[in-house]
Amino acid sequence: MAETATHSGTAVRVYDLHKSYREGAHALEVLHGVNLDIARGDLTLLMGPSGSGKTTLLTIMGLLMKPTSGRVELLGRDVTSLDESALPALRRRHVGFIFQNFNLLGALNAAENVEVVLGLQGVRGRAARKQAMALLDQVGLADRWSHLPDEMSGGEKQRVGVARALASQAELILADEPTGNLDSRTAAQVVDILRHLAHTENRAVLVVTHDLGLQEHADCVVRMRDGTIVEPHDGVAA
Amino acid sequence: MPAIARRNLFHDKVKLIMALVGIVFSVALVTLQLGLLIGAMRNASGIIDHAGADVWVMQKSTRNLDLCDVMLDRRYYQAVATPGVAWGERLIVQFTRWKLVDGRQENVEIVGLYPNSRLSLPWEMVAGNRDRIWAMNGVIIDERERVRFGNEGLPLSLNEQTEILGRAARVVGFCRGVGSFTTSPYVFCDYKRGLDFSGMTQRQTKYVVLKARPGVSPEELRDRVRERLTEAEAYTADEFSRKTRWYWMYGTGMGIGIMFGAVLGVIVGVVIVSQTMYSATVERLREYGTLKALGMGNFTLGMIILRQSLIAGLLGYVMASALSYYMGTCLPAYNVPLHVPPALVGAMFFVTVGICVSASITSVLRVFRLEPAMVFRS
Repeated sequence: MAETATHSGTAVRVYDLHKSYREGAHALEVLHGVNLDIARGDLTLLMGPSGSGKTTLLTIMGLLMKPTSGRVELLGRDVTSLDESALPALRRRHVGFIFQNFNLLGALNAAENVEVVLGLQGVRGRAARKQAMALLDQVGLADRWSHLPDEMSGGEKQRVGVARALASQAELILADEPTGNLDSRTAAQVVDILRHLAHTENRAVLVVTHDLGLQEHADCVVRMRDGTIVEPHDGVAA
Repeated sequence: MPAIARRNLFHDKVKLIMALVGIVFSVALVTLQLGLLIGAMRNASGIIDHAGADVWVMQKSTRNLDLCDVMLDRRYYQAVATPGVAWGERLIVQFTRWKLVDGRQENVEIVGLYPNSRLSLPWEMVAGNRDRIWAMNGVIIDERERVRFGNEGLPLSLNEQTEILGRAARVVGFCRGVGSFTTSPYVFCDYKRGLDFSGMTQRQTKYVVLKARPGVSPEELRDRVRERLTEAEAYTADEFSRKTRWYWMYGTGMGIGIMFGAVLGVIVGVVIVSQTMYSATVERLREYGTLKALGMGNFTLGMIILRQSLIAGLLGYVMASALSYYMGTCLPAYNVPLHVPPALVGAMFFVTVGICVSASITSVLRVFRLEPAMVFRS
């Protein structure tokens, strides 16, 4: 099966997704039959109260966790039943992550943090440094390439996180509260970068957020409550 | 890809220092313990190994060089008459007492050499002349014993008069590198004077040492002597050396004690390095989880941790080797039977790698079990 999108620009699609966790003798169901498409070229917001299942859905879409039942398609390929050992390679090629707490490697400078992902793609040495510098330039951090995460502001760290997510050329970028630790001005800058990437590079960007202020930047908004999608939008599967 | 292992390691300098202390302590401890073992073994059989004889004949029931019953002097004639003997000599090795000028007494071990002995004993002189022991009641002792056998802080000097078992003796030379496994140093003297010093009669001797003729192997000569002298025992020099070492090392438990110290050193090293590496790994679990989420496989992650441990191990090994080498050159001057040969230092590299690999296992397993989904948990 081809691993590039062969349909109408859908990066990831989930069908009748269920996820439950064991809590002692009981099973706690977090997702109750979620259906959702995330389209390439769009910045999609996933909103909802805490405990509504947003992060669980993001985690499953990012191939970091298996659903209890249902199906996940990444770029048209059913990845639900793939062996655990096959998932790192898929994540490496097709999924980029941006985290609320940045999750940069503390001992590496900005350029090296980006180079880690480039290295996983097989790009090394001077070529990796050149690409890392280009990506940092794209997020406005070319002059901060040699700084360690501890020497950067929250906004700068998050922009390094964005550059790192872009380094893999992933079609799907998943961001968990990317503006959660940023002031409103910096948050707007980061979201602008994400929207720009979605539009100009035809990537699917899914952002989990509580920040209502981001809605004006989004192409689609999906709302969740109690493990289900409560507000359909253009991308919700029938 | 950036050198994550190296950067992680040097980023947290406190943890690096802790790991290095653990590795240096452990590797140095193991090296020094094994150096003591080697040094003690060399001392235990040094006389046999350096003498240059092929076969040693002794009273039956002899357990080692130092603890040997007397045998009849006529065994000498029987032994040297064995076909295949090039030459043979009587030799005394016997504990006795040396009286110091202030009246104190020290135990020593007399090595009585036949006039113009062809044995290479002692094997290195630093002062005086070996030949003088046959002329003027002369004795030769290791240079490291000069202070211990001196008088009121003044080290023992050449031509100093002394007394061994009530007989006059004169120091005619100092040798080097002749250590004893026991605390009693070897004192070289004339054979006949040695009989007096050790309270033996002319009808008694301790050893007959034989040199085989060319074309006769030590084993052949040993067998011929055994056939001929059924009341005595004969060993090749190698056999007697091993027997002596074995007795002191394992018969007395001293060797096992030293080995136990070495094993303890390895365990301490593994525990300290393991704790440090594990603590460093746990602190960076989120980073490892992030790398997993980004698509890094378990093998690569495991290699990062292993590489960190090995880099620390390599640094620690270099420091520990320098320390051990320095101690190996200094301590023998203080009569510590420490010998750190280059082969031991080389072998310790593999011990260090073993310590580091073992110490990484818990950290590697922790990262292997890590769920990449943890990156989204706060």
